[in-house]
Amino acid sequence: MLRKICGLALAALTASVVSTVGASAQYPERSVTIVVPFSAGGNTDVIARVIADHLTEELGQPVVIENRGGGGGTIGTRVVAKAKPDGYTLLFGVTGTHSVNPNLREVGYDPLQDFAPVSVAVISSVLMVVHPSVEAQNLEELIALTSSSSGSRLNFASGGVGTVAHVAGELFNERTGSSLAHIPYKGAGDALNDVVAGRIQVYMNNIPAILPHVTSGTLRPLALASATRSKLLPDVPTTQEAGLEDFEMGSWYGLLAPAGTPDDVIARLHEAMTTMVDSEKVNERLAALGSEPTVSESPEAFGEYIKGQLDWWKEVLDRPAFH
Amino acid sequence: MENLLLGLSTAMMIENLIACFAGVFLGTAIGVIPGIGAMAAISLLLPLTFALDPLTGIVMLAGVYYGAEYGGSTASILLNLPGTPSNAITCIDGYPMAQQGRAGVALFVTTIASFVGGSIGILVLSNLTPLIVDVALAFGPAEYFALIVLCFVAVSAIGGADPKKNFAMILLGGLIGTIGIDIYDGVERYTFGSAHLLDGLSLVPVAMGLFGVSEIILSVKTAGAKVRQSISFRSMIPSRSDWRRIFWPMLRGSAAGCLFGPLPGTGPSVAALFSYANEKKLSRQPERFGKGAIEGVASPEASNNAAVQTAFIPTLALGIPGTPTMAIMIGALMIHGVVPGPLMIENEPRLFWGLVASFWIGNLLLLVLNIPLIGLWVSLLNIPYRYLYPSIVVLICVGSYSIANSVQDIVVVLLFGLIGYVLRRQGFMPAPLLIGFVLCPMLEENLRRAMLMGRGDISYFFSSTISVVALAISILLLASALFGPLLKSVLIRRRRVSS
Amino acid sequence: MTRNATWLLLGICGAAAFFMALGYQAGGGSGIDSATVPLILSGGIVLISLLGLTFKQDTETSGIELRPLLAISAAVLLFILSVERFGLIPATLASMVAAYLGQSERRIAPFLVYALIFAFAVWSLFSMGLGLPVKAIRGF
Repeated sequence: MLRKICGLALAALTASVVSTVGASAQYPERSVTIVVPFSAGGNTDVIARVIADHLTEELGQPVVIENRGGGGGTIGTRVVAKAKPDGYTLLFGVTGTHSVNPNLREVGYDPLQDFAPVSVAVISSVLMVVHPSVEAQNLEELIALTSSSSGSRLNFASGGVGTVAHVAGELFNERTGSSLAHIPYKGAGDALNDVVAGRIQVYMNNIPAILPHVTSGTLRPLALASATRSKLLPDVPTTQEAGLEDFEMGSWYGLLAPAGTPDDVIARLHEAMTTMVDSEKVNERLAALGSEPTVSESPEAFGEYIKGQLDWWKEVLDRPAFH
Repeated sequence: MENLLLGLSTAMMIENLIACFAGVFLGTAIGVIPGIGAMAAISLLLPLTFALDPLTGIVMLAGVYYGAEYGGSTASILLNLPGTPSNAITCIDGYPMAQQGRAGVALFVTTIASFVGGSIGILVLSNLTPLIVDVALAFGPAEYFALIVLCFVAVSAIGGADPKKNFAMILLGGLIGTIGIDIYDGVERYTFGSAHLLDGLSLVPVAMGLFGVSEIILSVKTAGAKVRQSISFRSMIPSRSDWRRIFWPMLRGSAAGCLFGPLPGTGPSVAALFSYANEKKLSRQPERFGKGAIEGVASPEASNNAAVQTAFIPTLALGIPGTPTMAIMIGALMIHGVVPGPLMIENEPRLFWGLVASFWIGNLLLLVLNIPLIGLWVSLLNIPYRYLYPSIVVLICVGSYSIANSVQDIVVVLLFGLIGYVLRRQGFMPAPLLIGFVLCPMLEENLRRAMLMGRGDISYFFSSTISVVALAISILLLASALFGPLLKSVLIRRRRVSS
Repeated sequence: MTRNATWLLLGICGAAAFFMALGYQAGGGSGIDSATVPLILSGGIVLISLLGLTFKQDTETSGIELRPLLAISAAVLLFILSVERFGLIPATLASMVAAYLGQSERRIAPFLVYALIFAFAVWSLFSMGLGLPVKAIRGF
C-alpha cells in the first residue's frame, strides 16, 4: 500500500516535472499572431508573410499575420507593447517603428524597454540609382555632376520626411557638397512614376523598392550603400568601392516580443528563425522581393543592433537638414 | 489577334477559369458589404496565391479587384452606403431611384454600364497599352495640378440649390482632407496628438458616415412608409427611353475612365466623380440630377469599371502601382519571380495575355452572376425596415472595423454620420464635402510638388501642352459658368426690348 | 434660428482651424508651406459663414430629431465599446437592440430572435469567412 502510494506520488511528481518542462518545450500550444503594423499588401507585410510561413513549419503551429496599420506603424507597435507577454502576440518591427518614429514624435511606447527582441529577419541596403538620361555612368561621375553648378537642377525623391530615402539623399548632399532638391511623396510607390519618367533624376531607396526597375533596365544602378555587395546585384559596387566612404545605410525588419516574454519562448523563436537562412524556399521568395534573410546571432545581439540603429538615426535626424 | 488567342487558350485552362470565378464571386460579395474593400479580400487571398501558378494567382486577385467594383454599387443604390470609394458618387442618384421603387432598374443599368465600361477598358488595355504608358509617364505634378483644377471646375455643379452652402461644404471637405502628417514638412495638422489621425482619414468611412449613417438616422422615423419594390424580372428591364438616356453617358463615362484610370495620381474615384459632373453639365435637364437621374448612375459606373481595368496598364507595363491594391498585385507577381515592367509583355506573353483574356471572361461571368442576383438584392429592401436598419448599422460597424482591425474607423463613421445628419437637416449637401475631401489633398500635393520641381517658378505650370490645355479648358468652363447666366439675361432683355 | 446656429458653428470651427493652422507655418513664411492650404480653406469657411449669416436664402431646413439620432449613436457606440471587450456576438446584439429602440414599435421578443440569428451570421461571415481577428464571445 505504502509502496503504491509512494509509486503514485513519484509518478505524480515526475508527471508534474515533465509537464512544467513540457509547457515551455511545447511552446507554442496554439496559433501565434504576428502583428504587422502596416496595412496588408505592403512591402513589410509581404516579407512578414514569408517569415510567418517559415515559422509555421518550424513551430508546428499556425503563425498568422494580423495587420494593424495606422500612424506610420505606431498603432500596431503600441498594441504589441501592451500585449500579454506570453509569446502568442509578436511584432514585426521595422526601422520606422523602432529607429525613426521615436526620434520624431511621441509614440506611446519605448522602442527598447517595452520589447524583447528575437531576431532580425531582413536587412535591406540603400541602392543609389539614376534615370538613364543622367550623364553619369558611375558614382564618381554622379558626384562630379551633382556637386557642380548644374547639380542644383536635379531632384531626389523620398516616401516622406524621415524615411530612409530622405535621409540618404540629405546625407549625400552633406557628404558630397551637392544640393539635390528633396521631392517627397506619399510612399515609395507614388514616387516611382516621376522617377521612371525622369522628372526625378536621382533616387536612393531600399533595394526592394527599386529592383524591378533595375532588372528591366529602366533605371541605372550606381552603388549600394552597404559594407558588402548584394547577391541580388553582384555587379553593383558598394559605396566604399565606388569612392564614397562611410555612407552605409538601410532598413531592417525583425521579430520582437513584448517585454517580459519568458526567455525560453524567446529562445525557441530565435531557434526557429535561424533555420531561415538555409531554407531554399525562404531565400527564393525573399530574393523575388529583392531581399535576403538575415538572422541575429542571439536575441541580445539583436537588442544591441536595435539600440545602435536608434542612436544612429537620432544623431542623423538631429541635423539641421531635417528641421 | 494571335496574342489574344494565346491569352484565351491560357485563360480557358480549368484552374484559371476556377480562379477567375472564385475571384469575381468573392469580389462581388466583398463589394456588396459596406466598408470592407477589395484590399482586405486580396490580402487575405495573397498567401494562397504563393502556392498557385503566378497566372492563376493573379487572375484570382484581379477578379476580386474588379468584381468589388461591380458589387460596390449595390449597397450605394439600395442603402446609400458606398461599398468602395469610387461608388460613393453612385449614391447621389442611385439611392433616390431606389426610393422611387426603381432599385431593380438602377441595379440592372449598373450591371450593364459596368460591363460596357469594363469591356471598353479591356479593349484599351489590349490595344493601346504603349500609347497609354506614354501618356501616364507624361503626367508630372504640373499636369496633375492642371487636371485636378479642371476636375474641380467641372464638379462644382454638384450639390444643392444654395451655392454658399455648396462652397462651404467643399472648403470643409478640403480642410478635413488636410488632417494628418504633411508629407512635405512632416508637420502634424489637426491630429490633436492622436496617432490614429497621423495618416489622415480614409474615404470609405467618411463617405459611409456622410451618406449611409445620416440616411439611417433620417429614415428611422419614416420606417413604415417605404416604397415597395417590385422584384419581377420585367420590372428591372430599363424602358426604351431609359436606354436612350444612358447610351452616350455610358460611352462618355467609359472614355473618362480610360483616361483617369491609368494615371497613378487619380484613379477610379476621380474618374467616377468627373463622369458624373460631366453628365450633369451636358444634360438638358440638370435639375433631374440628385433626384434619381438614370444617367447619374450609368456614367460613373461605366467610368469606374473602365478605370479599374485600365489601372492595370501602369501596373503591368511599367511596374508602377497606382493604388495600394495594385501594389499587392505587383507583390503577388514578384513573389513568383515575375517582374512587372516593360519587359514583362515581351518575356511573359502567356501571362500578360492570359490575364487580359481572363478579364474578358471575368466581366462576362460578372454579367451572368449579377443579373440574377438583382432580384435577391432588391427583395432585401422589402424586409421590414425596423428589422433591416439595425442589421445595416451592425454591418457598417463590422465592415469599418475590418478596414484596419480597429474601432477607430467606426468612430470616424459615427462622427461623420452625425455631421452628415445635422448638415442634411439644415439643407447642406454631403456630396460637395466629399468632393472637397477627395480633390483638395490631391490639389495641394501636386501644387506643392510642382512648386518644388519648378524651384518656385510659376511658368513651370505652363511648361507642357497637357497642362496648358487643361488649364485653358478650366478657365473657359469657369468663365461660361460665371458669365453664362449674365449673358443669357442680357440676351433675353434685348429680345424683350426688340419685340 | 437653427439655420443661424449652423452657420455660426461652421464659422467658429473655421476660425478655430484658422488659428491652429497659424502654428503650422514653417520658419521662412515665403511660398507655399504646410499652413497655406489650411489657412485658405479655414479662412474661406469663416468668410462664407459670415455671408451665410448675413444673406439668408430659403432652402429646405428642418430641426433635429433626437430619438433616432440618439438611438443610432448609442447603437454604434455600444458596438465600439463592446466588440473588443465582450466579443462580436454580444456587441452585435447590444447594437441592434439600441438601434431598434429608435423607432416606435415594441415587439422585442421576435426582434431578439432575429438579432441572435443575424449575430451568428455576421460572426460566421466575418470571423470564419474573412478571418477578422475578433472572438465570437469573450470571457468577462
